[in-house]
Amino acid sequence: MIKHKFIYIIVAAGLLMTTSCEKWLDVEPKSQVKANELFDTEDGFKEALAGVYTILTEKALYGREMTYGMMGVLSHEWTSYSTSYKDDSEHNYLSILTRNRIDAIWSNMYKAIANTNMILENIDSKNVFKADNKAIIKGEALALRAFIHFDLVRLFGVNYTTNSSQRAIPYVELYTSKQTKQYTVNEIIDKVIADLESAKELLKVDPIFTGKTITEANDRGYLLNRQLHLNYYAVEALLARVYLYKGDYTNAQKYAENVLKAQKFGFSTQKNIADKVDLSGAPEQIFALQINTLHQDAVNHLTPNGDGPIFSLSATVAETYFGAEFSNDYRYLYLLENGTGANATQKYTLKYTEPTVPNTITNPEYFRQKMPIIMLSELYFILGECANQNGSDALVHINPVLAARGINTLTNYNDFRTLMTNEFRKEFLATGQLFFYYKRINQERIQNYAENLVTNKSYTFPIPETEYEFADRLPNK
Amino acid sequence: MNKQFRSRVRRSVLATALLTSLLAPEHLFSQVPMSQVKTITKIVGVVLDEEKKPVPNVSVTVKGDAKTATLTNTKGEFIITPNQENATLIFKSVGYNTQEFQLSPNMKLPVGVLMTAMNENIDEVVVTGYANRSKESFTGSASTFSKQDLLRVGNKNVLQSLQNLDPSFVLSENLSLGSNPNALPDIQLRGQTGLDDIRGEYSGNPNEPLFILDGFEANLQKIFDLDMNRIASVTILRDAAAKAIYGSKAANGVVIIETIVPAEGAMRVSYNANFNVEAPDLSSYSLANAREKLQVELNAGRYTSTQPVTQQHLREQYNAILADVESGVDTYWLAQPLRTGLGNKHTLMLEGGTSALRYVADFTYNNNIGVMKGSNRQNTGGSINLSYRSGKFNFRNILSVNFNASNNSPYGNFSEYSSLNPYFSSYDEYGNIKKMLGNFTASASANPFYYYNPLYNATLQTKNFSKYNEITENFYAEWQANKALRLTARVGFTFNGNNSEVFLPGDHTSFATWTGENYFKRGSYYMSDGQSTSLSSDIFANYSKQIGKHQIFVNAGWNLASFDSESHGMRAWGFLNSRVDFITFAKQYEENGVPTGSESLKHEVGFISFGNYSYDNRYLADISFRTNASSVFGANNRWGNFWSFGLGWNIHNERFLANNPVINQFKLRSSIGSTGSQNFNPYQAMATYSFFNQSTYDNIAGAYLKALANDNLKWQEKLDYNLGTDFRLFNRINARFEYYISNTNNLLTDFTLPPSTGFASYKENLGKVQNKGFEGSLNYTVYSNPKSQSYFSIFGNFATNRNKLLTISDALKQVNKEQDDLGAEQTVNLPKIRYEEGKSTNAIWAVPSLGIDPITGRELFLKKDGKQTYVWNADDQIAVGVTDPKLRGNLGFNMEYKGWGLSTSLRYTIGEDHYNSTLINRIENVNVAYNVDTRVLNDTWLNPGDQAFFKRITATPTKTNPTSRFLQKKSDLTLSSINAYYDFKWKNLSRYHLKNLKLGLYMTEAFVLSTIRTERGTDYPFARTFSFTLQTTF
Repeated sequence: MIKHKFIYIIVAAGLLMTTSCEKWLDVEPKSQVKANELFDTEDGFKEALAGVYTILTEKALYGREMTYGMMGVLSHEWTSYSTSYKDDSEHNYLSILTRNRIDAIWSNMYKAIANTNMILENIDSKNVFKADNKAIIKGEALALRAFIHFDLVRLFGVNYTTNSSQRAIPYVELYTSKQTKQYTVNEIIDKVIADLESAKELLKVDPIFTGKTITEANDRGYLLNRQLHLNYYAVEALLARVYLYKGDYTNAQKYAENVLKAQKFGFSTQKNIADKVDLSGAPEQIFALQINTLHQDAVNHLTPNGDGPIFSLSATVAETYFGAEFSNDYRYLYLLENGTGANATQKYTLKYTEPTVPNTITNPEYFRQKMPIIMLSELYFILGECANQNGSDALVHINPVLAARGINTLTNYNDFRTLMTNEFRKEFLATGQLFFYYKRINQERIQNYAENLVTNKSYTFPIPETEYEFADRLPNK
Repeated sequence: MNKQFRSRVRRSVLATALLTSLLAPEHLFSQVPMSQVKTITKIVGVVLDEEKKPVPNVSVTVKGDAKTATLTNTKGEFIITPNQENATLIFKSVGYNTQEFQLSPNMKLPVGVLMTAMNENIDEVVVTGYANRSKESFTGSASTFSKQDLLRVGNKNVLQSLQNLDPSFVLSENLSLGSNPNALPDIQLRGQTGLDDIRGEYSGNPNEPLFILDGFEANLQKIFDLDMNRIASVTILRDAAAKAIYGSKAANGVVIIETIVPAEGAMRVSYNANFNVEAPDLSSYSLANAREKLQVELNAGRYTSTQPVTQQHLREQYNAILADVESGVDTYWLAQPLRTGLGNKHTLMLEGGTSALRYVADFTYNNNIGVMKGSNRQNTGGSINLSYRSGKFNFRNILSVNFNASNNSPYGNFSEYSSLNPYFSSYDEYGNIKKMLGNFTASASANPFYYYNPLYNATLQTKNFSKYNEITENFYAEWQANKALRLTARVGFTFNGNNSEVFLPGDHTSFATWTGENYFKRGSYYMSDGQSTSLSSDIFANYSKQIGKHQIFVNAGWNLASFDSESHGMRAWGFLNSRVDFITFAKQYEENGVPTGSESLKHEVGFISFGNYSYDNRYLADISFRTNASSVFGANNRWGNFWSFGLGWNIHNERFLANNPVINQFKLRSSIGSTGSQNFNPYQAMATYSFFNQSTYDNIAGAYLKALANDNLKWQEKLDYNLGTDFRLFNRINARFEYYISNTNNLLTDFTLPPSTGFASYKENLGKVQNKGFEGSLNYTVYSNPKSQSYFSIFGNFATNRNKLLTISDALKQVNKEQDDLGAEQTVNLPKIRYEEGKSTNAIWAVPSLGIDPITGRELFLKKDGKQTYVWNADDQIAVGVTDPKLRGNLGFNMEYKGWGLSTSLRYTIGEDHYNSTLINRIENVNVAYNVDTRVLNDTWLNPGDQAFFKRITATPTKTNPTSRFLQKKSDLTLSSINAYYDFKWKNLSRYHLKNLKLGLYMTEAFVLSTIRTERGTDYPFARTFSFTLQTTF
């Protein structure tokens, strides 16, 4: 009898074990969270999405190199930079330091894409969302995927008008270890547009679009800071940017006008700029990245006192940028500062320095730690480009920007391209957009630099060696 | 006819014997009532052993009467009063077979009882950790070694001794860590089956065998620190039939260690002491002396310049050094941080008990002093082992604790000393230790290059230690339900708490260049702590039955285990005062530093069954099956099945070989089976998220993917085929030969990904690796005289192993195939992994060299297409050699004569390809700023026409890429151990109240003969060990 009882106990224990076994074997790591567990809650999706934005704020990407760092050196908007950027300034992309920066852009951008794809793969099957959050998160993720791929194709693909059927980059839409096909420039642009269009549809519930009032009480204020996310208007602005890059002026104009018509964004006030309250143009930002260390980074990289690398431009060159009206231009007056001592002849940008917080400001956070990615003025300039293309008056679109910067509006101009380049350079100093501008118009020679960028193929980065080695990639230029 | 007759005679003899035995009791019983009035006499007797020597402390009891019992005295005498005249006396003592003695009236007193020594029956069973199996009917490949075997070939630790006993058990020679007492060895059993984790995320050694201590999994550290005196036996399970019951962890082989089981008797106290002397072995170094070194620098052009001013500046520096050399400065830096280490080890053991309750308690102290000053490893521990038997139940409990403290030398790394120039003096003119030894400036305006004195650091209050405290509690319950069925349940729990600290005060030479703002950040303190627990339990049912000539043995069970570990650490900066050595005196945390740490949790469950069938002890079969699941593996492949099947034939039990005078034993066995391994990162297969801890985005801490999941990751699985034979000839020669092939399928590797996937690499099953080899061992007793306990025997063993990558996995091929389908216009590249089908995974990759061109002094290489070139290209690398030796093994002899004993053991390896890095680091690529090997002085190219082996040495270091020029064939012969002892068993020790006494001397790693010259022990020197041992029982 005892024997039998013993055996029953063993069998029962065994059965009990096997049933609860799978669960027991599903071990929970403490310092990590399993993907399927993270996506069991809405917060998990929010965290994963915030993770993608955080990856973009790394120094290898928009935290430095893709904005004021490497991109600034490539476009020669800086005249002074650390020696470690010498090869970048010569567009010597195969030299070791430059190559490392390029490889880091590639791998970190694709890391952000893989993280985005993981969100997209999980979001459809989950029903854990409050109100419109599912559509908004999915829309943002699609927009992020398009945004990142678009900047990658702007760097690693040839200029669209030169040869849009040249192979460029893979457009990765799955979280997988398998390599993705390397698409041509126009295929990538089409995919970017497709993703942006779907994102736009989803983001029609975006409070910035619907005008719904959001307070801290709503979902802990999750949808409060839409400018830090790829919101509905950021997607439309991005579409305008992409269509312009493609040379589709009709669509570019359509989307740029859509954003401007909505009148959700306005120019910074002179007072706020002069008081150093609003240095990075917070109300103008259709999309900006929040970088927690931005102000400390600005000390390190954009002042003479930093531990480097340091980027600046000479005072004389700065004057050539701003021309005769420099003494009226808020951007010259309030956003550039002279160095001291040995650096007295250098100008340093103040866009990312810590703003002052007077008592009159109720929302100081609104002006802090923001790296502008898409600005209101770019849309005016896009409309200017379109008008120039249609033969209508471009100044109608450019003058509002000039007025907002405190300088006299224009009534005529000699050469549209010269005007546009000059205005673009002034407006987008230290944001990394000038290099993309030059690339779009396939500019052969640029200011402060003697070489021919087109014949040297300097507008296209080489694809990393490891990508060639471990995937089948064709030359991209 | 003849046969019939013989059997009839046999039958009648049997019948008579049976009859008498039946009749005898009747006859005795009939006497009892008749002698009722008779007083029962005291029985006086003496117990002697086979050598007619008295045996003390023998328990004497009366059968069927638990109350009457006594012990023999030191002369072996006893007095007992049984309750009846014709009682049966039982004599029991440890190490002897139990004797029964039938009393009869009118017998002559005193009675003499002969106790026969128990043969070490350890050879008769194979300990598999789950159940002991009869060796004769086992078909697996296993070797068992007793404590005596282990102690004969070394007294350092179990691993060291096993290496000297079994050629398939290999501790890889660690040329960098030498004899560092705190360095755990790397172990391989029958070749390499796993590849290292390229990302280095996980510290597990993929080739380490599984260690089972008293039935439960134990880590390498525990075995390394285990006191050898506690061990009863060690069994190495090599082939599938033996190890498949350990399933997913057994691929690298299993080492089973059993500690002493308490034996009953009066309390015995035994004491063991070892006194060790470690002497540094610097014979492999051949460094330049002060004068030679200066000459090398001159030859290399360190003091030559085309600019007259600089030339003058350099010349002045040269002259200053030369003046020092002339004045007699010639520091032998190698000797500076070294000492002769005097260590000691003590074990005290108490043992005894009744047949119901028995105990062993032991206490150990072991202080292993290394040859670098200040380095030691100290273990203090003890264990209590209780065993209780009640009827059909048997309980056993082992509780052991160990406190370990490991100190690393404050003198730093040995390589710091071997690189210092001998023309520097360590002391200034006042006899104080200098902090800076000297400097060199390449020109008058150049920044000086400083040489700091590592000896100075030893004068500071540095700290570099780690500690751990470990508690192990094992409980066993056994129920013998009936003769055939036995049920066992076991629970094992281990807790390990550890911490380590490294403190370097601000004055330490490593901070000498921190100036300005950083000056106040000098000094660093690193602190870490961790803990790990493991809990395992299993339940087994064991059934054995003999039906006629059929012997069946079946065992089935279920096990469950959980392993949990966690560690954290942090670093602080800024300790300007060397006297304060506590972390709270820090100025700040490490700049941009964050707390470090790691954590892992593994769960596993398994069902195990194995059985054995033998027919007439001639035809044998073993079968085993285990299915188990581990949280380590991908969700789609969590369960793994492992099995084995073995067949054996005891030819010596066949009629035609029965009682053969030559062949005493002849057994053939073969086995096949599969096992797995899981020495891998527990979270490797999962898609897990980690969180950004330095920044938030829009008030949310973002999450990011740690790695690319591979849900299809398969168990690394090993298929073993084994063919073996055991035989014994003339009762003098014991031999064993084995041939094995083992194929590792789904070998896990880090597969590099194109970065466009978002990740650098992920875990993938690489393919199939094959290890095959021969093993053999032979033991020949040349002379044996059991009466005087004298013998002389020689032994030798060998092992060969060939390793080959057979195929690249389907998973990887599939990846390539999918690329094909992507588009025909895209070319397909095979992954450029450093593994090629048909090549060893231990291959050395280098470009074939044609030597140094005498005309130009540059190295000439052979390209893959047969052309010659001066340009080294990574694509021209081929597998030029294999680091596995062609043959390895041990040989030696053991002898004993009337208590005097001598054992030696030599270890050899033959035909290993070795990439001699000493030739590169110390000669060809040497930085003349540091000390060099004397071979720099000759055989380097200086002038056109020189036929030289080495390139020209220049003032600045050059880089030599992997070239076949430095590939050398290596064969070694090591005198691994000599052990001489005297056992006082021939003397009458009882007057000193001793039961036995044994004194011995050991010499380990006495010398190494090698065909090549390479520096051994670069970061910590090797040592020769001498030790004196004493073993005694009270």
